[in-house]
Amino acid sequence: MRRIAALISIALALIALAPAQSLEGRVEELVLDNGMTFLLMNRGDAPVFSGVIRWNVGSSDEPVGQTGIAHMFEHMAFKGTSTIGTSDWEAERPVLEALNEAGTALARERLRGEDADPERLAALEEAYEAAVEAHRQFVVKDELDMIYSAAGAVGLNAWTSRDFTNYHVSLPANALELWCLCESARIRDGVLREFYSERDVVYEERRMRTDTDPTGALIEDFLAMAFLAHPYGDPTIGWPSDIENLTTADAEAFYAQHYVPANAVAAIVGNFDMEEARRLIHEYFDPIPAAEPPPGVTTVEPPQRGERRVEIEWDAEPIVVIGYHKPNPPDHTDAVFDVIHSILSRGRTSRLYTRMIKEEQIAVEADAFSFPGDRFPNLSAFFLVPRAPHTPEDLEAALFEELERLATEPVSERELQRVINQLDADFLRGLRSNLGMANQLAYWQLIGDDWRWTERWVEEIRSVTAEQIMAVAAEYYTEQNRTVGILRTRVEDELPPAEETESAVEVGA
Amino acid sequence: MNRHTALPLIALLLAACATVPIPDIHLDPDSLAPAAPLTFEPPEVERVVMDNGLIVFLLEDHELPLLEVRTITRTGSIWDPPESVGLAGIAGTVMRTGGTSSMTGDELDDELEFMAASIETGVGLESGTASLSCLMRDADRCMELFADVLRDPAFRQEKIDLALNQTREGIRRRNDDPMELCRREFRWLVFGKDNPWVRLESMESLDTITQESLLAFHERWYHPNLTMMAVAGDFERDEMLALIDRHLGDWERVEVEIPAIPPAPEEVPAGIHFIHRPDVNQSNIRIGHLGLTRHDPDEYAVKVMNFIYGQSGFTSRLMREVRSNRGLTYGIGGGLTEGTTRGFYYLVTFTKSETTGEIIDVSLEVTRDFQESPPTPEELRLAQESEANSFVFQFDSSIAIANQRMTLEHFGYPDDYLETHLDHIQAVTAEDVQRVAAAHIDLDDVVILVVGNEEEIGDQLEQFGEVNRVPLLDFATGEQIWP
Repeated sequence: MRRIAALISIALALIALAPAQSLEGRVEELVLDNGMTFLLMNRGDAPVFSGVIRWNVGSSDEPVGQTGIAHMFEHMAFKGTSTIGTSDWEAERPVLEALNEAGTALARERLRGEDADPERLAALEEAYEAAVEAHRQFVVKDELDMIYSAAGAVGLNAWTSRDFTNYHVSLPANALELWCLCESARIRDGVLREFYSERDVVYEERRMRTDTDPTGALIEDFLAMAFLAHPYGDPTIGWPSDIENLTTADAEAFYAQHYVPANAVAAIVGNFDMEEARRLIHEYFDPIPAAEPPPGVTTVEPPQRGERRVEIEWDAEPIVVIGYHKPNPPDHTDAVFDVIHSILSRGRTSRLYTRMIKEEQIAVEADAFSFPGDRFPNLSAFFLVPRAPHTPEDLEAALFEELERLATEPVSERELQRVINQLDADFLRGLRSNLGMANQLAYWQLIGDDWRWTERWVEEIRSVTAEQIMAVAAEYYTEQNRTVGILRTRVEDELPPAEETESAVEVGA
Repeated sequence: MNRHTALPLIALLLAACATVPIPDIHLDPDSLAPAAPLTFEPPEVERVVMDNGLIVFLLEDHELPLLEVRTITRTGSIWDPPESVGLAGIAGTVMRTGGTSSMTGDELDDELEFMAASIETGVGLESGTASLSCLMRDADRCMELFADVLRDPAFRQEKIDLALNQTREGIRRRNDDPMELCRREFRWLVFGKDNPWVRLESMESLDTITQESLLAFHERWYHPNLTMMAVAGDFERDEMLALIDRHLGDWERVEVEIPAIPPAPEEVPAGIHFIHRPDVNQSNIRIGHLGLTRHDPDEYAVKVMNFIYGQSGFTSRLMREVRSNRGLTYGIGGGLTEGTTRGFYYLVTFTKSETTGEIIDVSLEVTRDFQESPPTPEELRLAQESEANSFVFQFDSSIAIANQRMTLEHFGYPDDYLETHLDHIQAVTAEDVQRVAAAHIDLDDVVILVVGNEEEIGDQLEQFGEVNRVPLLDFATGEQIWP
């Protein structure tokens, strides 16, 4: 039986090894003199394309005391340029400068906390409000969004993670020049408008994602516990007090250091004219001046000295998050973890699903994944949701047994082959989406210095063996390397009468 | 010709005047020539009616060796018996997980996942859906399995238990996410908790669901003449039709009497409603009342209205004033939705506890202002251009194209709906927009629901009337936990 299975898997592997759909020869790479990289790929029948510009800068690159500035800057990149978003730039400029100075002065005074002079504070607040009012007459609201919308844009947006800041939009093919214009203008001619009201918007985003969401709150504390030194421990949205004190000067400094062309990769995927695209890219993006790339992140997370635990109490049902430090891609060890995560939690035949959800029914969710980024050593993480009356401890025990089993028994050939088959199919399915493809190319260009990793990674995973899985599981899934975060349901404090008596006696004594 | 030679001269003249900065046309979107019109013929979806009544929508797509199939079946949870709410939903899950007469669910899982294929099923309010995604080389086997799931599900007891247990845990967790809590309670307020369009399963109603009731549910609805199928992928149409015929051709037609559609309520409990959550520093807010009935003659004017009022990303009236100008929220949206009976007029947002009253006030003010005067020509132009120029995205995925044709037919849209869509949109006037905003939104008769922190909000809600404290249940025990 085992031999038959092996024969089948070899046959399947041979089919898969001759992929009809190679990216080689389909992706054009264009590196401008200023260092900005473009990846271009034609696909699809509909005359549309997706454009992605991904910057190798995320919240991990933020200065101390300015968590949230990468994300804040991303919001500001929608506020326009010297021609977009203004009724008269020459007249607006001094008013905007005055506004930003007033905002910064107010932020500085507030930073003094209780030492702040109330009279001065009131005067600064008044001056700031007046400056906002004076500036408003020049603002053409969200003009960038309007220009793109009128051209037929879909999905104009951006996101910031611990690793990257990513700007994306999908457009009809006849708007390629408009895309080049707007995106290059945003890079070399961005104007920081409406910074302080946008800072309030971002604070609301924090309240939504973290302060009122039990999962968001648990993950924030869990990561802060897992990464004591490395900035992966800080939230991308920013700590509340940092958000409150961000200034336009911070945003300008952050932009100057990180938004240099050599720090970006653009990917355009879809049904457009390749020749015209090359011409337009040179025309619009060549004028962006070259600059020194940023220095990078120096802090390295030191080895963990023992298991760490963090708990939060909430008016909600329990959740468990567990993580183990591990290397990041394109290290081969990360490919081994990709396979492990699939074997553990992908689909209804995966090990955690089979055991925890289907058979023992102690959980309603059991996911394994790499977290919270890929530019730096990260975590093999587990998100577990217990089913009452089962406890977080029941889930922990079951998970630890499964991790132990990975370290002591080789996985079956069928499990390995299933992962490879799924990965091959993922690759094919990924080729159907302009935006998905553009994201993948940009991701690997930044993570592996080469978009070819998009395919190379499939090979990397194909080379993972059962022995490697055992060795990696034994090395990394240790108690010392583990962080556990638990959200517990809050129980109202009701001290049993006996304890009350005891403490009363103590106080009396 | 003259024009071309003139340009460098102007450039030279400008350059000579050192104090005048040269405008960089590469920064100015106004400098661009109008975009060339797109030439694009959307691919034609073929519609075939099989002898047993199964309607098939086919679209060949030879880009990649993949196959996608979707089906839609006339059924739905709106017809669940009141004591068995949840029946349709559980049936939708276990139809797939519980296996078929010839294969257990586990065997199905194993074979499909090894092929990197997926078959999934579900039942919503007014349709049952199924999907198949596989490599073309596995099409024959996968279509066989897919047909088996549609025609002959076994609803094995152990997977019924699993689905019920998972659903019960979901019920236990219903109050954990304040945004979701607000959505649920708002729907309940507007339609009434027991109305089939919004009601939810309970611990007790789940207890009534058995293998017999699930088999009977399937027996009642899953017939070829109540089902449509959309197929897209790397096949030749004749071969695909033969394959479908092989696995579904002998699926027998059964005449079914479709029950009456449960009605929407006549009235909504207008006023300010509140639910307290202890751990939050932000209020979730929903405002609204009943909305449109599908195929309303105002549907195009409403679509344009929605864009301008509250559904167009950053440029909508609500986003501009409440988020961008005032920084009161990260997200706000609003508009009119359609339903088979009635949809909603809704306005949804969230803000810190301290500005809860302010955001309601401002949002209502923006809405009132929107109703009182027609949109500007620029707003109307932007809405219409955006719709026209983004229309091509309806056609950028073959399965989405075929699925759209199928879904439009399921909901009773005319055959030429897509072809005439843009003309209808272009015909909408600013007066139409104002008229539908005034006709379909009634701010004197809205439900306002706030879910937030009572201590932090204080008396901010009293300006909107006497606050109704909506009882909140612990859904695990059925006990009221607030007030």
